[in-house]
Amino acid sequence: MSSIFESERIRLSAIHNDNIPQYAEWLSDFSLQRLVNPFMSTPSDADDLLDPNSWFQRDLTSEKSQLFAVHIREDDAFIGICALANLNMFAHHAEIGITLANPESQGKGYGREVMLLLMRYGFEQMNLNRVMLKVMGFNTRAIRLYEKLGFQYEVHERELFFHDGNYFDGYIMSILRTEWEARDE
Amino acid sequence: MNNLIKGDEVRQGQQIYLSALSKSVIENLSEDILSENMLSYLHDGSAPLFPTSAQKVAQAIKDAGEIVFAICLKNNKNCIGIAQLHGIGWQPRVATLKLSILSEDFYTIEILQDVIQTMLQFVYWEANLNRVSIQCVEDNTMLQQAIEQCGFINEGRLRQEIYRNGKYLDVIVYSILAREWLE
Repeated sequence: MSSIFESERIRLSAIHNDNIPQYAEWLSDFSLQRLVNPFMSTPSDADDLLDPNSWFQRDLTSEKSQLFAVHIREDDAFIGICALANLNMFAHHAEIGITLANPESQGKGYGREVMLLLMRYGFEQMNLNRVMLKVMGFNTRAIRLYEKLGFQYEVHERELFFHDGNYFDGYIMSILRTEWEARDE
Repeated sequence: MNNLIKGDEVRQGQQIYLSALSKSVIENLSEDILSENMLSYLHDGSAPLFPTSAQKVAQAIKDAGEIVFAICLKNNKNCIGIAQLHGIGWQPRVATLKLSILSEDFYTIEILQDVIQTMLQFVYWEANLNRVSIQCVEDNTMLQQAIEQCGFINEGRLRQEIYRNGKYLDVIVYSILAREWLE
């Protein structure tokens, strides 16, 4: 059997507070925030993320989310965070999200590996029926990846976001267990 | 452009008006267990169906602390349900509208439409939002018709989003933008 937490180049691990200052610094980059933060861009600070009352720490301890640190296997470098969140344990679905915040890790196909690990975790460990995601309409690189991974368009949400003086649309995409099991790979 | 509305008219519909969901309004709601039909209408998938009363549903919504109105009949002032705005984003000016009709006699297309139109009046004239969405489980054709007749656009469906009576059901997502409503 293949590993639950490892793929060719990636390992999913628990999040350590040691990684948080680095993560907060990466998140402070507004061009990254444009892709991962649907709300107003704000400076990100390690102390805020470490505060027990912060959204981040609440997510870490919530029964409704599973958060992982993403590491490169080769040198153990921490490159970001990924999660299955908003778990609905009655309808068996959860929202998938990845933030590979390390600028040096981008454009190397790590996102695809992390998504596949998380999708498999969702279907094979959490026994989900559906994995869904929300993406901003202008994040074309991510959308292309999700399409290739087998995610289907569900909802086209019009004028959901506001950045730089303009409204932008969003998409909700999903993959069902039957589609995951029928995929070619 | 739109007319200046005087005072309370923004909360007035045809047969209903929007009022405060006060303690006395909640106390006057029935403590009887709702019918399975009504429980299904109220079901949003976040928990399994469970026997509960109109009063308990109202208290839970009130405790959630978002923008909440009691839906009251103009002719006798009785509260027949609750309308709420949740997921409000003041920066992108978006919100989701949720209706919880608590009296079976008033679960009709006319009332649903009346409530939706009155809430849209509030949302666009008073709350200054740009986008309102509303969700509807695929088996609730009455709510679907009411939403569509109010001019909402179908944006797609969340597949197998809720689980009830041994099967998965889709949830249809609709929205209407300020400029579409003002037309």
